Amino acid sequence: MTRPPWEPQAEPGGPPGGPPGAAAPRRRSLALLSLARARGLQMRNALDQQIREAPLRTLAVAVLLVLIWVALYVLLDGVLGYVRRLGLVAGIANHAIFVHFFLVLAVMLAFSNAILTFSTLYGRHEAGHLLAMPVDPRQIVCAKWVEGMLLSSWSFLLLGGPLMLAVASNTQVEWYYYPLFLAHFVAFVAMPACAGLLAAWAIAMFAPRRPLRAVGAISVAIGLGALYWIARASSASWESERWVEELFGNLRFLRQPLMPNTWTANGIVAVMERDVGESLLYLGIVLGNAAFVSWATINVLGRSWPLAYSRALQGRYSPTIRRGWITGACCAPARLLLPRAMHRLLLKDVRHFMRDARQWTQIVIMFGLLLVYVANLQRLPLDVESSPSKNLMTFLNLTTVSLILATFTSRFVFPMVSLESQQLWLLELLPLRRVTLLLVKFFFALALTVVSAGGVMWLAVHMLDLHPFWSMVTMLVCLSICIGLSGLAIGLGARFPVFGQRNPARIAAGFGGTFNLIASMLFVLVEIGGVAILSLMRVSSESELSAPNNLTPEGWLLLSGLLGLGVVVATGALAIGAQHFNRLEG
Amino acid sequence: MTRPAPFSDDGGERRGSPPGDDGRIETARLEGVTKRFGVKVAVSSLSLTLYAGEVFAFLGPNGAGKTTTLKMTTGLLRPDSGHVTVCGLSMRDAPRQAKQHIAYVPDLPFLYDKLTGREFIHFVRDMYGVPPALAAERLAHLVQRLDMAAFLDQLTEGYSHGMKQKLALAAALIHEPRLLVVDEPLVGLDPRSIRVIKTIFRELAQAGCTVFMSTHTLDVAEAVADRIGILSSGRLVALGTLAALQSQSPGTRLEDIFLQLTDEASAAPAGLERRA
Repeated sequence: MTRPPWEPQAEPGGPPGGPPGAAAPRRRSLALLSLARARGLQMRNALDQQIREAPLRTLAVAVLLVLIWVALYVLLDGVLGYVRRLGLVAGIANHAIFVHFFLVLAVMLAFSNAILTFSTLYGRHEAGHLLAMPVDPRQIVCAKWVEGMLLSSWSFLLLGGPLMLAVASNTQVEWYYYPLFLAHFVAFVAMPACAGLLAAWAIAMFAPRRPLRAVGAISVAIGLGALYWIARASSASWESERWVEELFGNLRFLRQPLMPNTWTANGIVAVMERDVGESLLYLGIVLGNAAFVSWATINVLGRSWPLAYSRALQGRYSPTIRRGWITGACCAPARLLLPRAMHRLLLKDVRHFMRDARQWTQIVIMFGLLLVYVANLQRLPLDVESSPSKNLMTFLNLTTVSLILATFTSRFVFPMVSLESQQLWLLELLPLRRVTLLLVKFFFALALTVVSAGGVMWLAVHMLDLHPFWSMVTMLVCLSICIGLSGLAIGLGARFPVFGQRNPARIAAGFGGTFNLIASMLFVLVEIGGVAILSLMRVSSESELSAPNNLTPEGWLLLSGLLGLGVVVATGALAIGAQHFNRLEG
Repeated sequence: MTRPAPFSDDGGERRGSPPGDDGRIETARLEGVTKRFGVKVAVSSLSLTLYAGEVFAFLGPNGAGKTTTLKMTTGLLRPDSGHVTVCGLSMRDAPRQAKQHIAYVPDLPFLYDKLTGREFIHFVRDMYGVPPALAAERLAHLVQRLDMAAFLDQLTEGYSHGMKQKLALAAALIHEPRLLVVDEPLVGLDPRSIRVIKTIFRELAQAGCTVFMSTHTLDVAEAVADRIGILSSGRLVALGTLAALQSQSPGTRLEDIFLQLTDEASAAPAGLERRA
């Protein structure tokens, strides 16, 4: 047999009888190092590209991160300063704070690592690429575990760092406090990362067909269980000290000596009290356990990774029959209101949304948490019977809902036009005006936002037993915000479409997405500011809050302006977007 | 019409003229391989042997099980039953050793967006343990051959589909595999690139490598393949050289044979099969 002319000289060393080129390798570098090197190069290239192509955005992100970091530091400093003023209690409180901080951190890290690991080890592309190569699977799993931990370093940068400095500013600590705090933090991260690996593996092995559904069902079950448990923890009222005591009494098991969060808390408290020996002892315990758990997890999971990947792939390929009758029924009323073509487009968007768990789970989680909070408004230790409290609570609720809605429309509604534009040629062939497409998307986004945000706000005003007139004012402003935000996201999405990008997160992170987020936030601030002025006008007029109609003429004017603003913003953004969208060529 | 047992490799060899003489080197063997996805049987009792120095084209309608078979050959999917061996190494018992001899280029090749083409190839080189000097020499030839010099040092996120295919092929060849498994290698390529890749496949086969490719382009299969296998509904319904397949119906083109066999296979009740 001859070698191809474009090949260099034959490499000796192939098995007998084999083709000359198929030689065994002379030297196999450690796959772990190769992966690490490749990942380092990717990070360097990405950073270089980011700084070169979008310096202002990079700077803005850095400034925002610093602001968040400073805000967290101020918050934690305030909490620890308050605890410090309690004197003797502070020693116990510090320990309790650290125990619960690291417990919550462990849950968050395990969750984020599970998501990250599932996509990298059992996802469609990279995992297959790596698995096709002659590499020890344990090294790949180990690399991904390390990668997950490094990506989890946000926890230290964002939470651990401010906490470390806040503790230092409220306690007399020595220089060795800083490296030991960091060491405790880093050592602690390994175990939640292993838990995340195990969770991802279990999903791939035992629920490969609907991984997101499985995770969602488990999360909801755990969340509901936790809520039920907390609600049943004490028969005392929530505002009483006895309820807090009983709750912490029931949570005592979290402070068990065998829990890693307790070890880390003990170690940090020890170094705060200048007991280096004890701190090192606990650090050793954490490190020893982390090393063993990591070794066992990587070995066991590494060996079975090819099988788990195969099962995940098999689950992905397994056909799922979808009748679509639920979404069809949801959109049935729209058939009465919209022309046939618009109804079909709406149905397509609804089905796309409902079948993409990444989209609906986020909105369910965000507004689910809000619903839990709102449903318990009456049990909060606040005087919700007084009118000023009701006023303040309603204002805060509206602010929270609006800001969450702004982030939701920026993340999920804005990319809708860009994603649709990938098939512009297809739309071009349909007997439809392009503006119809934008209108359908606008109505879909509006329905979604009104149902979610409007639902939460309706429950809030109902729980607060707000006067019907002010309930109506609040709901109308909420509707105006929904209209404005939906219009902005669709309109600016059409004005700044991103072609060739199928990842909604990346579309939202582009210039247009950032611009939309800023515009949405400004719009919300104006609306909320207007509501604040309305409230102040009511207070200054000293009128009875329960009076059915106590707005001054200026108040009516302002309310009209707020309601009109949403419509004007939506119309303007849609007009600008439609103008640009019509000029696009498929 | 009675349907014989599923078509096997042996039957094909008896009818078709083999690409080499006796004593050919076996590169890959699939023995009674079956794969199910839920209730759907993607591949059913497939037996196939690939030999060194041949280009084997796998044809079949969409959803016939071609990609599944390729993935089982490369060890990405585990068969529910049956065995896969590559260069005499069991994919179940010695996967790492077996994969050392394989290169796989999927239909949508995976590339790291934020790596340049050269950095990606260096990464693959390290994973296969190819000495840098030797890899550099091979890469220089591949770059020239595949006309990659203009974009090799750009980030892969800006590559067109054709560029990605070329880079993936170059990365696959950097360790000189014995078995090159390629899924739809020519989709999205310009005519010049298609010509180059077809030539490379032939040269690889001449050098003793086995090229195992799936394709929908029957002309390419006719032009390049030493043997052709036609898969329909997870079953191998025909196997042999082009001449052997055509000998069943003299004067017919591969397209007619393909359409006839796949139509009959999909129309036939389960358990029945037709030999080519």
